[in-house]
This record gives sequence, C-alpha cells and structure tokens, in this order.
Amino acid sequence: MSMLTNSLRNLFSKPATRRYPAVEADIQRDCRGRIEYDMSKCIWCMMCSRRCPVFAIESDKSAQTHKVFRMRCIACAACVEACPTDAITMRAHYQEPGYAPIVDTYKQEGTPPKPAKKEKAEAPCEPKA
Amino acid sequence: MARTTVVPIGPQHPVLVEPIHLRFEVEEEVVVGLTPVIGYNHRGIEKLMENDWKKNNFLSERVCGICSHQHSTCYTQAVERVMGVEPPERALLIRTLLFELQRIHSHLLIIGLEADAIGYENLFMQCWRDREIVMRIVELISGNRVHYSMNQVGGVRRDIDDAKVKEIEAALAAFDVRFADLDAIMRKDPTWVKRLKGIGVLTRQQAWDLGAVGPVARASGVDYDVRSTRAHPYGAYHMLKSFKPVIREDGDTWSRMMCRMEELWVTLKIIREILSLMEPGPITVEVKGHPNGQAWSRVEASRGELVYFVKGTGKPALDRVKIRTPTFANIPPLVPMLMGCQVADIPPIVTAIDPCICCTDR
Amino acid sequence: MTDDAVKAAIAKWRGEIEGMKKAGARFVVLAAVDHLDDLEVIYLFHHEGALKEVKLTVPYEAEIPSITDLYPSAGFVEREMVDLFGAKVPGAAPFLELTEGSGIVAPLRKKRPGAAPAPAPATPKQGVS
Repeated sequence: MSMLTNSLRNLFSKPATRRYPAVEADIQRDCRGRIEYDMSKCIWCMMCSRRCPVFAIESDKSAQTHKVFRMRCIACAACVEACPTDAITMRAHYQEPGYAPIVDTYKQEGTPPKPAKKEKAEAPCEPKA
Repeated sequence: MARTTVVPIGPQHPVLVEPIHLRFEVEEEVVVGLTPVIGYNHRGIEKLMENDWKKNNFLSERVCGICSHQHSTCYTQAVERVMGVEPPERALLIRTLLFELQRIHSHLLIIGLEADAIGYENLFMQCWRDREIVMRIVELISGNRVHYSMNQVGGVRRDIDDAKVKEIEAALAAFDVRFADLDAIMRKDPTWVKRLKGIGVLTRQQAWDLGAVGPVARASGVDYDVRSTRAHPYGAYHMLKSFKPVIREDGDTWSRMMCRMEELWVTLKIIREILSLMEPGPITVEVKGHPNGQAWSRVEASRGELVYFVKGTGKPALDRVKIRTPTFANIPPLVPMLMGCQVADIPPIVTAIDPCICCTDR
Repeated sequence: MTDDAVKAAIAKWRGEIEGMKKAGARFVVLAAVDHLDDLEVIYLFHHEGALKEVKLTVPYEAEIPSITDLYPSAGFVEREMVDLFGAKVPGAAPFLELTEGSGIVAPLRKKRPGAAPAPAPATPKQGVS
C-alpha cells in the first residue's frame, strides 16, 4: 500500500494517541508499578532494604517502620522477590510525576509475627540468587 | 578561492537527540573536515558498577533505554561466564525472545527517526505507532515498557504462560501486515529513495579498517554479526536455524536502512522459532558465592556488537567493568562518510548510524 | 619495573600486535585494568570466529605507543584510557578532557594521583536496626 493510501486511511480513522493522564493509561496486567507492604506479615529480616538497588527503602527495626521513597523507586521488584513472607506486593500503576519527594511510611502495630518454620528463619540470612 | 568555515553541530542541536559535538569544516556547502568530540553525557557508570555485582543488572539496563535488555544480557552473560553458571534452556529462550523483541522496537525507532531527519513526519508517526504493538507486548511479558529487568545471574526472573504466548503471536501477525507496508514504502517511495540513495557512502575497506559494527558494517559488505559466531554461541542462537545475517553491498544510507528493514523480517522468523522451541522447565539456577576471575562477553545489540569485560576478585564489589558500545565503534566511520557531502545531508547520514550517545559516553 | 623491562615488554607487545595485523585479525576493544601502581591493558582481537587477547602491563609513568597506525579504530578507546586512567599515550585522538580544569584526575584509578581525598560517599541508611 503506498504512503498516499496509508495517509488517507489514517485521516479518516480514530487518533492513535491516548490522552493520558486525562484518560486512563493502558497498563498491562503484571506491570511493575507500585510496592505495598502488608505489615501484619513483616518479620524484620531487612532483606528488602538490603536488596534495593537505589536505597528507596529505609527500615527501622526498633520503631517498626518501613519508609518507601516513591520517587527513588525504580519498580524493579527486587524487594518483592527478597521478602521471605510475601509481605510486599507489586501493583500495576504508573507513578505520577510530582514536585516534591513522596515518602510513604508503613508502621507495624504490636509485636511482629515469628518466622513460621525453621527453613523460613534461615532464608533471611542467606541471600537468594 | 573557497574559504573554509567552521560549522559546529552540537552538543545542543535540533536534529540531534543527544549531545555530541561535531566540528565541521565546510567550503561552500561541501564538508571538507570533521572532528567528533564525545563525553558530554558521561555518567561514570563503569565506576558505579564496581559497587555491588548483584545490583548491576539494574544499572547496566540504564546505560541506554533503547538497548536496555541487551546491555543487561551482556552483563549477566559475562558474570555467568566468570562464575561458571549455565542457565537452563528455557531461560535462554526467554532471554533471546526479549532480545529480539527489543530489536524490533529499536529498528522501528530508527526508521522513524531517519524519516524525521529528512522531514518525512508522516512515516515517522507511522513507525512509532507500530512500535506501540511491541511496547505493549513487552510490558505484558516483563512488567515495564522500557527497562525489562528480566535478567538475573543464573536465568530470568519471570516466566511466560500460554495466554502471553497467544498475545505474542497476535502481535507477530499484526507485524506481518505492518512490515509488508513499511518494506514497500522503503523500497519504492520516491521521497525516501531519492533522498537517501547515494549519500554517506562507506566502502568495505573503510568499514573494516575503522572498526564499524552492526548494520553500518553489514551494509558495506562486511560479514560481521556476533550471532553467527558458532565458536562462542550466546543466548539461544545455537538452537536456531532461521537466523541469517543481512549483508548488502552498496554502503550508502539507503542500504543501511534497508539492512535494518530486512533484519526485522529475520527477527520475526526467529521469534516464531523460539516460541515453537519452548518446553516447560526451570527458569533459573541457584548461584552461590561471588565472581572471581575475568571474562569477555559479546552480544549483537540492535545497533551492533556490544562488548562487556567483567573482573571480580571474590568480593561483592567488582574490580573492573568495561563496556564498549556499538555507537562508540561507529563514530570514527562518520568521518569518511561525511567527507564531501552537502551540509543538508548531515542529519540523515548521522541518524543512519543509529547514534546513541548515552551508550557512547556511559 | 625498570626502564629496560618496560622497553622489553613494549617491544614484545608491539610484536604481537603486528602479528595480529598480519594474520588479518580485527581489533575489537581494549580494557584497561588498574593494579594500583601498574596499568594492565588487555587488547581484544577477533580472528576467524575466535577471540584472542594481547596483554601489556606497565607502570603508569611509562608511555604506551598508540596502535592507530596499524588499527585506526583504536583511536577513541586509547583516548578514553588517557582520560579515565591518566595513562600516557602520545598522539591520542582529541576528546572532551575530563582532566583539565575540572579537578577530577584519573577517576577510575584506585590510588588517584595528586587529587584531594574523595569525600566518603553519603550512603543512605540501609537496613538500620
């Protein structure tokens, strides 16, 4: 098909551009976007902050908080893979641009759960591949 | 007696996407001298990579956004060679699948940019709209449109299920139609052909001496493609029968773009063969310890041959990482290509080598 | 290394490079590795499907002759060695000179000559307990 036919066909069809952010983005399922903590499961092994390649997670064991620096996070899911109790999940989402650094603090109330089995307790000390 | 004027192009220039300084000496519209100067985009990535070898997977991807997975594969391969790790077959196939999908998006990008450099905005927009097909597929497979983060030393991080395979096949069917269109336009459209044929000629001897790589070398008749090296097979290419390097003889700008178009057809065949070869199995092997030793690793990125050198001394920190990107090797051949051309021909010729200055400067 | 040892090493290395050129090998890249007081340069060649290395180890003060008379494609990598390691290669191609006036001298060397000691990198807290 020549360029002329192509152009005429494009002239009379819908625009190919999606007007994001006025319109919702076309995000695929399993997109790596935004991490979220389920603090009831965290056993304070610190693997998430140790494995983060950009230092986007700051964990404080005595205060029982995780601070996530949203603007530093590169959505690589290294923390999701490192967590032995699946306390971190990754949700499909595109981080909106902003003017200020955004820090989300996740706090755990009460005493942390004990690591479930003996094998699970050894996993935090030995980094996975 | 003609007077020589110095025309500096860059580092900031409307036709260049990235900062590079090209100092031209011009006599009445004809270029008689050129000095390229690079280094404006230097980010010190080789020094940063000495910090922690496990986190370098993510850092090597960010050397360049267009060839991100190719950098990551080359680095992972180098570390696997140092540590003596053999990833399983399914992991190699998934890695190669993403490698070739990245080649599709990169070639469509440069064909569009070349059209933009000659003012053919219509074709530029068409190529980039077709790129959306592959961007959505890789977001489905890997989770991100640009930085796939699929590699880890020992294998890949995510698997592909049957639903995703069906969507990949649907995308390939869409590409069959789109590439047929694009191929016809690149061969017959008078704007494209008349503007690009005969300019920026690089002879075979010049391409060999100056170390050109990738489609720039193959369009001049140099048979050099890392994927054909049977001695050091990388990825899954030793299992594939449908790969053939694309060699053309003329060495001008039009040949370079046609070389990329024909590579797109070969890539479609490779992806179909990979999908037919996939068997269920593990996608990673366990890796213990730290790299101790040194190794070279080469891959055929979409722009040419990409080389990594990794040296480790048994600690989490690496001793030395050296990266040689294809555009770094393709900038010296710019000098004979641009000698004797008109000033108005500079943008199409420079864009046709597929310059990625952030790769060059790291 | 004594001057004679350096001259002998360079003569031997030059002989190997000329052997590569005679055999029709293609120069791929060179990698410079820092060994505190010595510089090891590994030249990589590609010949008939196999990769071959030519190594040269000299002190930083020694001058390494350029190989652009045999292999014009080596110009850029040699200049990079000059800029990043402070090696001496007479006649290397011009580049953006990292060294002049910026206060940054030979950034990739472990023992940086004459530079102020680099401030300790500000490591964000990782895994604080």
